[in-house]
Amino acid sequence: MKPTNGEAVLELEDLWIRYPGRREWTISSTSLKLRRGEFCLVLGETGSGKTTIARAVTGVAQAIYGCEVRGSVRVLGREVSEYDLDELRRVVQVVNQNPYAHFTDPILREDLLGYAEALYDPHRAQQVVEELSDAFGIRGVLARSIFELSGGQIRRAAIVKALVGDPEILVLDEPLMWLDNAGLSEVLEALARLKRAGKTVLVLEHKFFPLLGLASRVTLLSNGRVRPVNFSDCLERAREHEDSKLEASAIRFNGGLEATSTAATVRLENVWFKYDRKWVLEGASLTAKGNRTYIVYGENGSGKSTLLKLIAGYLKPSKGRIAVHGRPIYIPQLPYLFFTEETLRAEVEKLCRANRSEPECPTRSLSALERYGYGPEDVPFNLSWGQMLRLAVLASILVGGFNLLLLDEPFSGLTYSGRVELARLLNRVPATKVITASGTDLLGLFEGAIVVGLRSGRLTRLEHVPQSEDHIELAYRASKILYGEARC
Amino acid sequence: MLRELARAFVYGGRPSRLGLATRLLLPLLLVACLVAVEPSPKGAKPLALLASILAVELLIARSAGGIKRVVTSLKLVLLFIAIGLAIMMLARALGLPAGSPLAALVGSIRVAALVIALSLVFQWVSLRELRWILEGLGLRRASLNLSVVLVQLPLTISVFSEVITTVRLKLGRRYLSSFVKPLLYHAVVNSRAFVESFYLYGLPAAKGKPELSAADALIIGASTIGFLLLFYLVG
Repeated sequence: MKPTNGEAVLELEDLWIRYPGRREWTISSTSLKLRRGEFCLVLGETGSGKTTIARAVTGVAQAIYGCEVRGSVRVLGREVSEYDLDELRRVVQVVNQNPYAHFTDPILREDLLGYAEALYDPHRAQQVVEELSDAFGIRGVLARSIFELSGGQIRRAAIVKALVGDPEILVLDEPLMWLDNAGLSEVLEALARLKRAGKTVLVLEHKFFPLLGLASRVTLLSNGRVRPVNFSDCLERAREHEDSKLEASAIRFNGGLEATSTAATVRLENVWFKYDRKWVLEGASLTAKGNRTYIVYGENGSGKSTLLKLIAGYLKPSKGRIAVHGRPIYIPQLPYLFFTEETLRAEVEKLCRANRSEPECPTRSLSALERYGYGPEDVPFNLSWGQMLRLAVLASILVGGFNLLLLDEPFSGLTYSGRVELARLLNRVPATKVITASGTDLLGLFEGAIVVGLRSGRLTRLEHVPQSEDHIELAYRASKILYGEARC
Repeated sequence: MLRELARAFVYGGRPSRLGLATRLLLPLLLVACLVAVEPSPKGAKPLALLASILAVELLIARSAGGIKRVVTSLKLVLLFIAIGLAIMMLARALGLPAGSPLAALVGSIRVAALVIALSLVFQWVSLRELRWILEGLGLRRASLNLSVVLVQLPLTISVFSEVITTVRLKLGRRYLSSFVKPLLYHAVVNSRAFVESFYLYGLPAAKGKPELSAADALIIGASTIGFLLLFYLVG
């Protein structure tokens, strides 16, 4: 029998989860109860175990990852382990961090119908897909390949797929990741629609500010445990908090950065670039020089990555001229793609060899990186997203001696703390920095940065930086209080 | 270019009024023609056959995915011509036996036409239909692998471009092979996400219609007769 309004539909009770080969528990003694129609926001930093909770709710943790699970996960009053898999899919669904992984057919309509027809007769399947596509505004893109969709569209498509079986409970793991401003609004509207439809929603996120208006309850996942927080009190304290106190503890700068070479110069003159028979850049011009930061701001698909790849020399312009004086390095959006070796020691040794540096280069570089908290035996691929990005920047400057940093949307996957700390590091490094961004929330973090808008293939200097609703400094202070002291 | 090539093997997304049998048999018939007839640069008839096959292929590409697919197919032809001529010139430079430029040109167009004909199967027949055929042949696991490969391909190519850009600047051309490790890491991470997806959503329903409409029968019949006639004329 289904629980009525007010009854618990999802219950985690004294839950412990440990991944194979690990000694420590990722989730320990965690309890959480969601009532029907509740919209619960679980906050947690990278590596806090948010994704593990999402995996536990559907049994993925045991079935795919071989986790050791103790305690109880009950959905609609029954243990998850007692459900037949087909039955479970009809009561709870998860929208993962990577929306592309939800689809097993490149054409959106084919994929949604393929799933719907496994649940309903073909006529009903068509009806369900059409109704949901209308409700979530993706009807117009059903015939497209999933790779042609914007960040907001692909997220909404993933939500639609999760809703095809009409589950009572929906779990969303970092639904705001990789979104530009337009995508963020679209996904927030989709979440509001879920709430209006009376679905029980569990959102696991670190980017909490845009979700505060939707959540009926906010909890914190820290050190493997979930506990309630009085968020308004926390924000109030964050507003009163003196930033200077946080500055001192936020990040340690341990020297070495000033010992690098002079900054680079990049000059783009009337650059045109065509992609898929469509002009991505139309007469783009830009001069970047000195130890300054240049932020190229544009929505997803506006050509920002293409611009960086043109500067990097990977792509050639159809028309126009690009002159680069200096040593450029490209740090991709997925920071793990930057690393090629298993340990930091091997990474540094290879970089030194490739640069034909002096024999002392590996020892000197490893000792410099150690001052920033990176050990020679650290595995770059095992670091958190933020740590990886900072390491990529530091290795580029301290080991490789690069003086033109090209960073493709480095902030989109980071927590508030991660973003502020990376911005502060970038403000310090003696290099010319060209950084792409699709959200306006970080623009205020760079003092003296030149913000250039990329729209309709043209670069225009933005004198008035668009204001963000996501107050990153305040959010940063709030998250510092939340995760650091957890007293609010 | 690499991304465009990958797209040439992705379903065009345009539902066709033609039956599955027609959409599958026509490209396969083209493949059979290209394999069976070896066009000689001296004979006009084999060249006419090659030209007509290319024309039919471009028409199908237009019907399956629009003008974009036609352009991609033409680029493919040019790419193969460039590769063919480059190999011929290299062979000559090294003093190895090499055919005439015309023979290289015709041979390259033939290979390109063959690749296009194969890509048309994927452009015209949806993945769900291909899976239906494979499952009908008792190849369920292969059908699943095909799904994942075709979905992953554009994503992997895009990640490949990211890694190459990074490694080339970071380590130089000498260490370009270092791109393999991050790409493998990405493939592992992504594969796990796909396994999760199969767990969460199960296997999508395959779909195929074995019926043959009058239009389908007419097209299949006419094409078969037409190609047989061409074979006879080419002799």
